[in-house]
Amino acid sequence: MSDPTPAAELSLTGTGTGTGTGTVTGRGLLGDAWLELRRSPMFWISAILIALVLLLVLVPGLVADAEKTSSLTGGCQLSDSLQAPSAEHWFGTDQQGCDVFALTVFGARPSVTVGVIGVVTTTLIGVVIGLTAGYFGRWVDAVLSRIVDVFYGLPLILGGIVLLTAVRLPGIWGVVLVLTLLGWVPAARLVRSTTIEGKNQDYTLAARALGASDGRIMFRHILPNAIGPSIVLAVISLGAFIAVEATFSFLGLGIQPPVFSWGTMISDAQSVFFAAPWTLLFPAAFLSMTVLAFILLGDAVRDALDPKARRA
Amino acid sequence: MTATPLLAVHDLAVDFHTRDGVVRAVDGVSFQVNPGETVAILGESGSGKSVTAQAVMGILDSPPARISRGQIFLEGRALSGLPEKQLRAVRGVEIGMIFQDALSALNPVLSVGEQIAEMYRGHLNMGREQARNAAIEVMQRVQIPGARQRYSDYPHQFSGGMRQRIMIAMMIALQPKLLIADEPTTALDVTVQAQILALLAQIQTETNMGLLLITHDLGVVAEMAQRMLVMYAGEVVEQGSARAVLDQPAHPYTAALLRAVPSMTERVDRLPSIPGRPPNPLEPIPGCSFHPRCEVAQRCCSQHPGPDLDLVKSDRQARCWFAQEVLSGGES
Repeated sequence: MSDPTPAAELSLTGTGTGTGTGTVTGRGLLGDAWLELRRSPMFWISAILIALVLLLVLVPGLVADAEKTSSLTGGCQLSDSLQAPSAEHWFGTDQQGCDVFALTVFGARPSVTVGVIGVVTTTLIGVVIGLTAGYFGRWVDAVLSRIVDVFYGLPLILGGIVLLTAVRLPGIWGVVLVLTLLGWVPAARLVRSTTIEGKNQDYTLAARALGASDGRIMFRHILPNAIGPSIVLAVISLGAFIAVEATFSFLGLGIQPPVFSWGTMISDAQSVFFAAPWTLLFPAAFLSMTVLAFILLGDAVRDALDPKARRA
Repeated sequence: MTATPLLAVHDLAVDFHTRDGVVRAVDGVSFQVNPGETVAILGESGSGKSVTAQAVMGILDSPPARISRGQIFLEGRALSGLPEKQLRAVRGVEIGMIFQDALSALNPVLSVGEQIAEMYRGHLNMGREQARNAAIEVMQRVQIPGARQRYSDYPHQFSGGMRQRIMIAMMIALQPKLLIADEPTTALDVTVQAQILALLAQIQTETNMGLLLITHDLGVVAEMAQRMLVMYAGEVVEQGSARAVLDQPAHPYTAALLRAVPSMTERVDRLPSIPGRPPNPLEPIPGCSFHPRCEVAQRCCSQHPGPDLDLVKSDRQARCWFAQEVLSGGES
């Protein structure tokens, strides 16, 4: 048969090595995934990195001094402009003479907030629309797919510029709004295609033959099979969304001074990059590290959610 | 057959509306299944046997498929035309269905126990704990060793035979009156096949359920069925008691099929086969659909469709102008 591990037939304890033997725990997909995650070094590395980022987001004051990020409080001296990293300024200073370390620490909050909220909202909208279109098919799919096509044809940046100029919602919430309204298309397309694939599987037919309702089939049989790819897409979009926030801020439509983010720092650093590369290097490194941590987490979670990839 | 049969199918016809035209996959199929009885539908790929089963179950993929004629009765209650919501209460509860490939018919991301428990939770609104215990019980009934421990294992961790047992456990969980088994043993090797058939037979005697067995395996029919239907190109070409049909076919197609089965006692170099290919349903054959491949066909066969299922003998019907000749030819 196609059974890759004949030995699995013999192991009666299954995956539940972490719990007592011989008991039926009935953990479910998520419970099993958690048991698997606990054993994954990749999960722990990414979890520690994400915990550090969350620390910066929630309590930046613990790590750095807020005063050093603003000229208004006298924390930045123009005389200190563009100094190289030193004992006093670990990451050097920017053009305004502000401490790049403090800026990087305090810049985490808007960037990560935009990214995380954007990913959550777009994934939710994408799942709802993709699942509905893919499962019900016919005219429901026809209508929803045309709507998807319309949004797909809309350039994110151009659409964002129009939208933000019209609604005048400055700061991160405007960017979140744009991302939510225009960024759900890839998730919807992905979920739609995995749904159509799942709908034609024998197990869906079997579930129907067993008298399962549409809702049960959608949420118990089709959605769990679409979670893996959706998570991968979500973590990849996270980095892209943080970059989009930077783009809008650069265009003067997102975060406005005196508020700043990794995105605004990176765009500000462009003009002085050759004279003071540290102004670009540090926020960019933090951004990359954050995105990398989420991608690692996404990978680990996806593997844990796939029973076949598990070491049984 | 004085009492109401468990399942009665009357003159069923199913069309597939494709881009290339309307294809009639099942044409004028009628049969009955009584409680405790096993009826086999025998046919090659594309003969319409699975479509018949799916029509009974009400899970035809429509569109493109559509039941264009006929009625289906479960214990005298018409199923055709019943609203989807009421049909759902029939499926799984009163009629169960076993699929050919258990690996693809089980959801890869749900543990087998959960999938069985789902039956109890979905149909009987049982609580989590209660459903789990019921699922373990039914897993033990289909003789899965260490059922309690294997509750949270996933389909890919089981062997082919064990997976089919899980499938059967799911289907008999709510003790349906009728079980439709669509090629239940085709994907299994012969020893496991025998075990699964024995299990089905055992469950059947315990619960007195009717079994509709869809297969292309004459051996399975001989072992399991009391009555059988032979399908060709969407039509029933012969039906009767399984033993009688297998001993003495009345339709040339059945006769040719039986000749193609290797014998245990005789040694032959080359097994006889049926010349030609199954008809393309998009190009209906004028006259009897089997005549191009038929040994006994005469000129009239290409001009007139086969007769309606004719009573050849008591409890034996065949759709052939020369049924009597084929029947007596088998006797000699």
